[in-house]
Amino acid sequence: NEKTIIATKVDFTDIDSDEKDPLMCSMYAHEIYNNLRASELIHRPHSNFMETMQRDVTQSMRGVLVDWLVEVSEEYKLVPDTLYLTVYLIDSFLSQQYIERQKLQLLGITCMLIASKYEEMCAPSIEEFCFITDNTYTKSEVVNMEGQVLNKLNFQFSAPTTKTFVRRFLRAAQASNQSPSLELE
Amino acid sequence: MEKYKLIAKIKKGVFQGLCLLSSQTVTLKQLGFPDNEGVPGSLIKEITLLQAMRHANIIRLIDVVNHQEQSSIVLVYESMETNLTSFIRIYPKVMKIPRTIKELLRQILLAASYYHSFNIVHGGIKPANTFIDPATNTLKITDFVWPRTLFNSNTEDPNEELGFCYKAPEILVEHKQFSTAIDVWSVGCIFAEMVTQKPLFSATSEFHQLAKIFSIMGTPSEETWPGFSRIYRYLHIYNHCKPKDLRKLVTGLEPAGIDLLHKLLYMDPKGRITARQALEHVYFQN
Repeated sequence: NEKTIIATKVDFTDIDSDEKDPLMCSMYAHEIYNNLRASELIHRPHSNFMETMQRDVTQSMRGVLVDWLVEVSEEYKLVPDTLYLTVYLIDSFLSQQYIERQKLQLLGITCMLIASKYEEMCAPSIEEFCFITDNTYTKSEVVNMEGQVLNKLNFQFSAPTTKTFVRRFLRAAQASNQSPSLELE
Repeated sequence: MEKYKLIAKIKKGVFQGLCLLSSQTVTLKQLGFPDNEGVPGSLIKEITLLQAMRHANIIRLIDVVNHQEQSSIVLVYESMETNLTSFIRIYPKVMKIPRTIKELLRQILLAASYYHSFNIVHGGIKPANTFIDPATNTLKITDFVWPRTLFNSNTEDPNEELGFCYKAPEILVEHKQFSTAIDVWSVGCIFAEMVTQKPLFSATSEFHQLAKIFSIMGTPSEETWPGFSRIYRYLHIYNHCKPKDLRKLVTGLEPAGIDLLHKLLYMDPKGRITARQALEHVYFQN
């Protein structure tokens, strides 16, 4: 009948239809994102770690820390991938290990140090990360924390982060635009 | 590190150990680094990549331990006892069976093409890094040599087998733009060695290796390797050799195998067969 015919004719723009540019690999987009979503399920931090694992730090403290790290990443001109990976590392660590509030900022800069080493062409030095905390922590404390994070997370840094999906969501949201804007990433 | 107990030293930086949780024997590879900036970023990237490697013909990286007090990372691999060198020595008769050779070569090529699908060059494929389980004839390549080559921290172990016998000519002339083709060359060398049970290009030193290769495969000319004289400016000091007949050097190998060997040991890396193409060669058809 007529109603079902109308229902199947939903008007949408297929964002994977630009098969003209082979470098965009749009024909594989569906498979790639299926894989990424499967990988995300394996690697993502627990959603309730604040209630189950942490007793001293709170959600708002984590929020303040992340806001501050956004500023640090701007100060040191780090790529967005580093920032998102930093947040992923912090959350993964907090999912598995209890930490005191005095050490939360140390965890933050250490995770940013590791993420920079993984993502950046030229990562800031440990001194620079200590400096930005007004030298609250010493270099050896950072190195020590780095060892703890690496051992706890077992060098699993190739997990998809928010950033991995943001590009595609933005593309879908701006499907009518001629060229996708990258400013929001 | 409390999870593992060291049992014996295999060579510098490589140990046999026991996992106290699973009672499994493991191989522990220790990589040192300068302690001033924590774990180097290159090592972090490297290990992340190694952990993504999962293949039936590649020795699995089980665990990574950051050994802070000693500024080193310990890579924990599954342990296998018999490498290809000792396998040939212990089971010379098994190695005479053409089907065994074919099956082992297929597994090496599967491992190599897996590495190459990640755009990774193994760089050190040789019999000492190729392990075989005698019960099932399952072959596994290990990669615990190559993180070291990136860091150049350890010098070569004098007891170690002469790795240069398996090096591709483009590596020996120190051409900077080497590719996955260098692994294919090494596989070709191993293929010949499995048949004859001795290395095909056995020079006395790395210095003589190139001359040895030229003496068997022929000195490259503008026809066989376009542009080689520009890559290697000492070419003129080598005598001009004609290629030898591989059928006479690698006796007992069927004609299809000789053809594949020629393609694996093609001098110009641009013309060399890829691991994936080699798996489709007629040699493996029956």
